[in-house]
Amino acid sequence: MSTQLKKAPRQRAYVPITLIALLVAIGLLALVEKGPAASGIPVGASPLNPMTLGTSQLVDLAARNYSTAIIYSLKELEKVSGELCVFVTISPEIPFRGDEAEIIISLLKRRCSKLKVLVADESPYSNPLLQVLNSSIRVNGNRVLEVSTAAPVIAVNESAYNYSLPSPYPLAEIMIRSSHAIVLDKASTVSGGLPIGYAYPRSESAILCLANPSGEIYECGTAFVVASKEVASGVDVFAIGDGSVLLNQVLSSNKSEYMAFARELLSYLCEGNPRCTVVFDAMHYTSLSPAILLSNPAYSLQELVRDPTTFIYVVLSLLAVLLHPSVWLPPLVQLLSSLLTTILTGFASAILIFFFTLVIHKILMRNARTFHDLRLSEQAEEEVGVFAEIKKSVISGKVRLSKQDFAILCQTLDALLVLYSGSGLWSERSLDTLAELLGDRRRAYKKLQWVLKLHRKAIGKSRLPLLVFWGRAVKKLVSLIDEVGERVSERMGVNLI
Amino acid sequence: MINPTHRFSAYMAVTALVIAVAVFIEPGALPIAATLLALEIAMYFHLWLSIGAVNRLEVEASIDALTDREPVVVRIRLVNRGLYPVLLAEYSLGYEPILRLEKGCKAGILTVPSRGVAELVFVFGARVGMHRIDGLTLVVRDFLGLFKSQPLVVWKGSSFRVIPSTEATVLKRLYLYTRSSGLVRSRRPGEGIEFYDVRDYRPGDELRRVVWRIYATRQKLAVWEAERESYQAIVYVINSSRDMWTGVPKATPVEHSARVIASIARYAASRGYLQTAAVVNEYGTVVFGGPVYGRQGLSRVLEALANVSLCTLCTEEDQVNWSAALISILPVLPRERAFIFIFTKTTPNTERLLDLVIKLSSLGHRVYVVAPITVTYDVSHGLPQKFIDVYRARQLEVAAEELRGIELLRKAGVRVIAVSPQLVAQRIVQALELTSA
Repeated sequence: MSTQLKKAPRQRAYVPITLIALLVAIGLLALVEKGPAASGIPVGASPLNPMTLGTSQLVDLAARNYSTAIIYSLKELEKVSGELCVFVTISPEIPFRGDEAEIIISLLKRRCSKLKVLVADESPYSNPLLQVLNSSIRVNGNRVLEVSTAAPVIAVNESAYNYSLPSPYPLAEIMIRSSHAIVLDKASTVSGGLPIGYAYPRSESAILCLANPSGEIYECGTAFVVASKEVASGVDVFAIGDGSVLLNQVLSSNKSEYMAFARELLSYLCEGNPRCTVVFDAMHYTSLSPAILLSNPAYSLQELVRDPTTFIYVVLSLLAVLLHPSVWLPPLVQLLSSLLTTILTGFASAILIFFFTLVIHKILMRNARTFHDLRLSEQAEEEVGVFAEIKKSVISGKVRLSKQDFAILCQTLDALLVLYSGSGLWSERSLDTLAELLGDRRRAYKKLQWVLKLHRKAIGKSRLPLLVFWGRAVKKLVSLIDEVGERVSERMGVNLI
Repeated sequence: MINPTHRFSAYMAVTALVIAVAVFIEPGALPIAATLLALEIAMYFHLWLSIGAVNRLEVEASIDALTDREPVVVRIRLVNRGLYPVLLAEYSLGYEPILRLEKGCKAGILTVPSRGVAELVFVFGARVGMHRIDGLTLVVRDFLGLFKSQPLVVWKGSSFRVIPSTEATVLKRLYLYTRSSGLVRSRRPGEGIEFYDVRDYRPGDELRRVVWRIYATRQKLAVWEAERESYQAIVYVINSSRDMWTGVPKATPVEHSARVIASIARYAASRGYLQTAAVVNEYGTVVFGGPVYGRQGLSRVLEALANVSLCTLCTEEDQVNWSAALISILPVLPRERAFIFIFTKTTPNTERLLDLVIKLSSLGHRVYVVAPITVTYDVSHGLPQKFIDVYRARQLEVAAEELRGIELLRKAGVRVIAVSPQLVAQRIVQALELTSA
């Protein structure tokens, strides 16, 4: 004979796994569609770059007093508005196109009551923007070098020059509200407009020379214009032939004159108006995609990993891009698709791959014994004692009221009556006691007769009544016992049941 | 120490497939295969470092427990002095099943930063007696769930004791009841506060007792004399077996009995009674020395009550051994008559209990059995309506059994106090004061 054990009830999840999987799939597709927040790691003088060559600190500085907006695309310009807008572009790495510059200026003019433009650039990339504004200012794209007159200089190749001689770091004095003396870094001269900044040598034994992009010196002098301003087409234009004076590396340096310069420049452009919006251009910078970085690790090591902070920044930015589904999901789907095509078209190769997959899997798993990843068991809080056991059995549904229960409950009633009067249910005085407790002799008589009759049936001493619903009978007896118990409590001051 | 999960097997199957594809179809898949393998190794290495960090964790645990009025606060500080953080650890706290966690999560995920601290705070509802927090277990996983550590017990747990609070209202009611009913009167002169008589002055009497009004009228020194307050030795025996923990937490028979004893003990200490207590359960009997006076007696009783505990390993078949209890209690009983109050259920084992009471009574002690009717402590909360009637019927069957036990004891001449919970203290004091010397 075998005993079949009942299976434990299966726990059912409120949210089916299929639905969760579907939602995850929808989420992944949506993320692929939206694309990553940034296609790669922002590099150069981008306002998104928090590293030494970025300009994120200038954005933070502006954000302290004014509204700021970083423009990744022309669409973003639609969101810009304000009493006074200042468009800032610092050392762009992608040249402005004429049509693009026109859109930028026309959009900003439309959305802002007043517009100002700051160009801090050592290359001619931002000249189309100045052209669109009908400004006479141009960034010449040359290099201002400080050359010692102690040694003759014939030609200088920028890629091979000796840093001590000639030096690309001339001193400059730029007038905003007050005059600021700062050191430039590979600056260019500026032509046109009203000159407000001049570069000059730091010692009397040196002169300044201009070199073209190929490194040839073509002009020397004691001072060159490196900053100009002008009002063109109703737009205030402010141009500096060097973007490095606003980079993070100089703003975070110990030299406070750069910070003072940047603060006064922003204040001058915004006219101290808190409703001014400073719009930073982030469209004209390249971003380093993980694919380029991984395909050319030497480049990444040389250009990006300069210090531990930069390394962490690069790794985190890389991870953020790599983990985005738009990076890995399309190639994965493509790979799976091509794999499926190969398998479906070539049965032999499919068999081969399947076989080798099994072999490789076997090799990889040769010493591994895997386990279910079950969560740690939680401490159960339980009731203990006789009633806890009764509750468990009642809730399990195994317990049914029967004639045995009726017989036992008759004994309960008997014990109650004994405690109250000394005489029990089957004594001669039981009717008197019950009548006293219930306050109605006739009702007490009927109840007593009913209890005694069913008790006789329950213990098998009588066959009548023929049909008894023991469940109902027990419930009726329970309510009688409760009533009697309550009366006993009232009269004796004793809570018995 | 590190176990791979079934997920790891699936992951390796994908890796094997990519390797096979790279070898036979598309060599471009080789970097992906290498990345997958590197990721697996990285996860293993990370888990290895994490387990090392967990093993080096310094655990500072504290349990604040006093009386059953204030909650029990368990604080576990996990201090990571190393450089590697514990990033993804699952924790689970073990404790006695009768304790109830009121604040905090008994299981969850935690992170301990490098050179940092994670603090877990658990607040339990205080229950009278000695309880145990079993310890804190951690399991560390990697981010992809490829590996998991074996359960690591970072804290082995500790026991704490909660003493029952005395109820101020019960105490006030006791004082009022005894004073107004004259229960404390011994009809003999001595130490006390109640007036007894005025007698002639005798050398050595305190001057502050002189009745100056009599001296003024009769030119005779007379002193005021107090009535000696009566006192006796009292021994409380409390049964803390499994069935005495039945019912709503904090209002079970054993906890209610403990509070009643604490209230009576405080009252009796103020009256100068000698007191002690003993705890019995399925494990055995613990007696806390012979009866002593006043505050010392009170602290002895409270110490005993703070040691009531649930026998977690016992089953329904295990019962209190009253014969062994008698052997343990006898040595501490005084020669003079003592009051012995036994707080216990009358069933099962009624005959053994009766035997104990008879033997103690035969030694001249006055023994009372204070029997909590367990049904009155139980509520059918949480039960679906359709089961209420069945449950009530079963409750009454248990009540019938207990009532039969009480009846059996009473028939044998044992004094049984089986009254409503709120009247228990009053009845005991009444029994004490009416019959004391």
